[in-house]
Amino acid sequence: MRLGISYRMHFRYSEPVTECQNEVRVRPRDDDHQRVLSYRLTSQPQLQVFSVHDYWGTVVEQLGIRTPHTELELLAEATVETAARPEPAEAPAVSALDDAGFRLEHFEFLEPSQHVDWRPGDAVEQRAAATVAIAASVPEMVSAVVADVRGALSYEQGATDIGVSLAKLLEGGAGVCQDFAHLALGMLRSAGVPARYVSGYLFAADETSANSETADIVTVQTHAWIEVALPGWGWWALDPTNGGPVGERHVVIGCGRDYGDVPPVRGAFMGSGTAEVDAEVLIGRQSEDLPPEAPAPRRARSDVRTPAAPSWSQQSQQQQQ
Amino acid sequence: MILARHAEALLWVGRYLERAETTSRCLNYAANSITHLRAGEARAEGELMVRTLGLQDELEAVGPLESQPQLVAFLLSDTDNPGSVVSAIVAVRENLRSVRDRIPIELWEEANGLYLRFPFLGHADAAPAGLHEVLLMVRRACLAISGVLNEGMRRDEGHAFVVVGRMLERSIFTVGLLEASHSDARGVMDAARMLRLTSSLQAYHRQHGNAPDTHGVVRYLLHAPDLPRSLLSCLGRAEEGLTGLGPNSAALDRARRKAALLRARLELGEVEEAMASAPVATLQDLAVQLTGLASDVHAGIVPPLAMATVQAQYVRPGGAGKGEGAG
Amino acid sequence: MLSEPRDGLLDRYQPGGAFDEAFDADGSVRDTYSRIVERFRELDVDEIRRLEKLVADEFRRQGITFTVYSEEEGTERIWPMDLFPRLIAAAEWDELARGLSQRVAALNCFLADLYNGGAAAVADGVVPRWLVMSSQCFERNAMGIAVPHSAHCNVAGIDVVRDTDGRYRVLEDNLRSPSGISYVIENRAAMAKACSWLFYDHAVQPTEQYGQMLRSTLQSMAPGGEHDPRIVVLTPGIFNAAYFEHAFLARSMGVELVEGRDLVVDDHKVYTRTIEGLVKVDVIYRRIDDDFLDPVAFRPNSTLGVPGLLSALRAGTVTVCNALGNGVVDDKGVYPYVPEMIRYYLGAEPIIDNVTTYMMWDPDQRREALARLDELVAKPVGESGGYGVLIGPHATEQQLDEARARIEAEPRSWIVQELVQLSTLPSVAEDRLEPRHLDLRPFVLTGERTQVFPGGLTRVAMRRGSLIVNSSQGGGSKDTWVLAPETP
Repeated sequence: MRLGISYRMHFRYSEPVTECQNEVRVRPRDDDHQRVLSYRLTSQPQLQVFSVHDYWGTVVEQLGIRTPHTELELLAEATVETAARPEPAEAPAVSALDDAGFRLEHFEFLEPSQHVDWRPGDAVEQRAAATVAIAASVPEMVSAVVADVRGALSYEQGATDIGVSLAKLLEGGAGVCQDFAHLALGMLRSAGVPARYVSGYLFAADETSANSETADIVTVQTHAWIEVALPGWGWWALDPTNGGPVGERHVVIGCGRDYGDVPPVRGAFMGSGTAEVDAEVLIGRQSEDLPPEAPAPRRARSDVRTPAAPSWSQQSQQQQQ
Repeated sequence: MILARHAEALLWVGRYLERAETTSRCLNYAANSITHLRAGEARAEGELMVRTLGLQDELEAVGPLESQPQLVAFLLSDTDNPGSVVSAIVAVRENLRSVRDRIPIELWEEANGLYLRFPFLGHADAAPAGLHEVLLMVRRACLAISGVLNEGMRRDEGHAFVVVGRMLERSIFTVGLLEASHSDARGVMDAARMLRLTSSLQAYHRQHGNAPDTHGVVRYLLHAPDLPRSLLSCLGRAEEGLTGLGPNSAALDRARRKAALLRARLELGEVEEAMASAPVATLQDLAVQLTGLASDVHAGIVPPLAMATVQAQYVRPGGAGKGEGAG
Repeated sequence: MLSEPRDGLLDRYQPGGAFDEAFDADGSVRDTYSRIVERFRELDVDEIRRLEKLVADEFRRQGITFTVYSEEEGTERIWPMDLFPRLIAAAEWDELARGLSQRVAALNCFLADLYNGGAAAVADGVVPRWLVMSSQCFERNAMGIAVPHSAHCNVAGIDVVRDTDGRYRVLEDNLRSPSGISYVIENRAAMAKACSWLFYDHAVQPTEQYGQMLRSTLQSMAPGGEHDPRIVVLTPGIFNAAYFEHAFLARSMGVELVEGRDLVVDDHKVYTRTIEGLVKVDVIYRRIDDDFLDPVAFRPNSTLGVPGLLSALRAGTVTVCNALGNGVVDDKGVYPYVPEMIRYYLGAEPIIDNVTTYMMWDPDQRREALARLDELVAKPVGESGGYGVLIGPHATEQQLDEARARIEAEPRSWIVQELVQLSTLPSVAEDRLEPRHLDLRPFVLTGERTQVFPGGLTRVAMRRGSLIVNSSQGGGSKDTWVLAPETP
């Protein structure tokens, strides 16, 4: 499937920002099942961009700006050719997870991490143990966990924040794709299944229903799902938010231990004001006969005003520290 | 090329050093004069002193003046009053500490020594706390620090900022003194008092005889080219310091121009003329100009935003939700 | 004027069970110390007290202090210096210095291999992969950042001790921000002022050249071989415990001391903010932890760092010294593998041994060590400065049980070592000199080449029998004299 993706992030600041630095991970990766035909990242005001691959193999674009601004818009546009991702051809036995070499190879995806913060003996581990108890193979374990996560959480925007712990998440019982992924990762890892977090885009009107899309173009958010390592087979991708397989409609940006390793945008700005963020992804299906081209950029009105230089005036009698 | 933060710290070293000296001189005067006054007069004198030092707002936070010990505490040892001697000494030391890699070691040692011997700060080495002894100690230490500044410090950009800071503080005080004296509720201006508080009595006597007349003294404190605390010579030295920083510090041009303009207004007699018709308004205008000059110097340094915090920004997959750890 | 000896300070000196550096087991003075012991025999306790006060006043006057955080507000304290110096003979020092360069060379090889060389040593099983991956200080953001001369650690402080046989052993590697060098130099200056006569008859290697050594080391680290790079020292600020040292280093190198807010990244280059605008920086000698360096990539709420610094590092426009990610070898879990690194990278036997160490993640070693924990020392892998250390023989039964439980629960977080009876030297006690335990932190500088700074920081326990020498735990220091080779 050929997909045109346009990811727009808009930051508005209550006070002028004089310096702002960001790391952006939004470029789809190239792998065996997807190919990036075109990609560009633009911004308003214009930023200096430096691009590298990080430890996890994801493209990081580092952006800096030193012009005073009250708004910042980033726009990433890509055209990607996707293919279906294979379902596991075999069903490795649960005992295969105990292989020392396998465990060492996937060490980082078996341990707790910043956002996948289960601890031996806690509610997450107990829940996982009960869920996988009767599974006869690793794929059965995984499917049982994914099904259980969908039972434990209901999809609700705004119910959680980024730093939410798994314990709090279970308690609240609601969240978005990221929370579904983190809980699934915690349960899988605590049960001894190596599992990693995937950040990407999903061509669907709604994160909870991956296959029902017929529209040409949808407006969504970035998406998150998981991959598990099956002994002797490789990485198997699953989408705990909608319970479906990961197919042609999923576009991978990158993967890591959890959200913290592949955040779409991370940054810092100098200023005393507050920031408001508004982000949206436009995904459309493109004809495969046409030469690859990014969708016509839907630029926000270019009314980004350049404010006057900040006032440096200090109270003249007393030193401020 | 001095760091903007260092330039700012040294500017404040100059200002607070001058403030420590000025406030202790005022305190010395007040302590001596008030003992000869009746209660009502003593209170008026105390209020005038607070006004001279521009500390009305700070005093309001403490409450009305009731007694001489209270005035002494307010001006000497009140750490909440940024205009007190103790606050000035702490500020001088803190600022020097943040630039101690680029100043003579002796400068740091003198300031640190004063800090360690100063009472009210809880140090073991503190000196006896008699008012007279404390003030004498401060005066001597300030002289010693000035000595190192003049004799032991390279005439580099850092030195220039200390000088500019001192001259700004000094000119603001001189104008504040004149303004407070002109608008004193008692309606009588004490010429000798003005001279004492600027350490100018002897110099005046030598030049103008022993019977100071009020107008002569005001003119003298504004215009005398050879008097260290006259407005004219302070502005001259501040301008000299700013000009010495060289043409690359373009952001300071505005401050340079303002200093030059103010000096010209004094030299060309404009100020004297205005004083003749409306002294209080003229002095108030001068005070505003000097505050503006100080702001321009600070703005020209462009110090790092100490007040602004670094804040995190995030975008979250799957839509709404608040960010994490905004600092 | 020296007064007549009335009460011999050393008359009743009795070394304990440890190796005494000045006296041998029979109580006779070792050759190296013969002259200094003579000098101290001429002193009495009043004279010692007078000299101590001279030194303390000098430190206080100069504000040579460190900050103690334990109380409500940070307070500045001077760090006591013991007057009896430590002496190291030329030949002994040569051997020690060779061992230190060897160790730091191997550690640098490992860091370069890990972050820029495909981690061959890990692939070859010299250090287990999982151990590296699980280290709190393994810095994934350091991957692929170019490091000139592969010198990841430009300033290393290697803590060494001498066991009961007098053999040197490495106790701890400090490859992040080892501090203490300023005390080494200020101790010498104070000794030279207060007790110049002690130096007579000794050819002592000087210490004041450290600034120059460090400067040339940092100069060689400039990206692109820049000949006259602009160097800055990056400090967390005046309230940091080691601020005095940061200012000291900047002054002795003749470079600027900056805080994070003095630096700014523009177009992936780092600049200082000066009154004449932005001026580019080439080398940053930083005394801030990795986590705080850049709020974009690390702790988002750090105000000590420089937003965007990592992007400049990745773009190769600036060098940060020490490099990012060195903490992985400070991890005490990695320490037991250092001798193997020396064999692997350098094809040589270690000149200085480790202290015998038991790895708690190995079930057999754990069982053995926990059984005799009352004679051993347990250390958390992620701490330094003596924090969290349990000394078996000094612990109560309850403390031992708690430690066992903690170790069983998190074996990766602990190592257990044989107790080393640190060597002793005469030190000033109440009214005479008594043996006190000490260690040594020499400093090894690596840029284009490696240099070992002569001597280092000798830390001394102030209480009889105490093995805790850390300043934060009430230890003191001694001036350390490396003697020049005897001229024939």
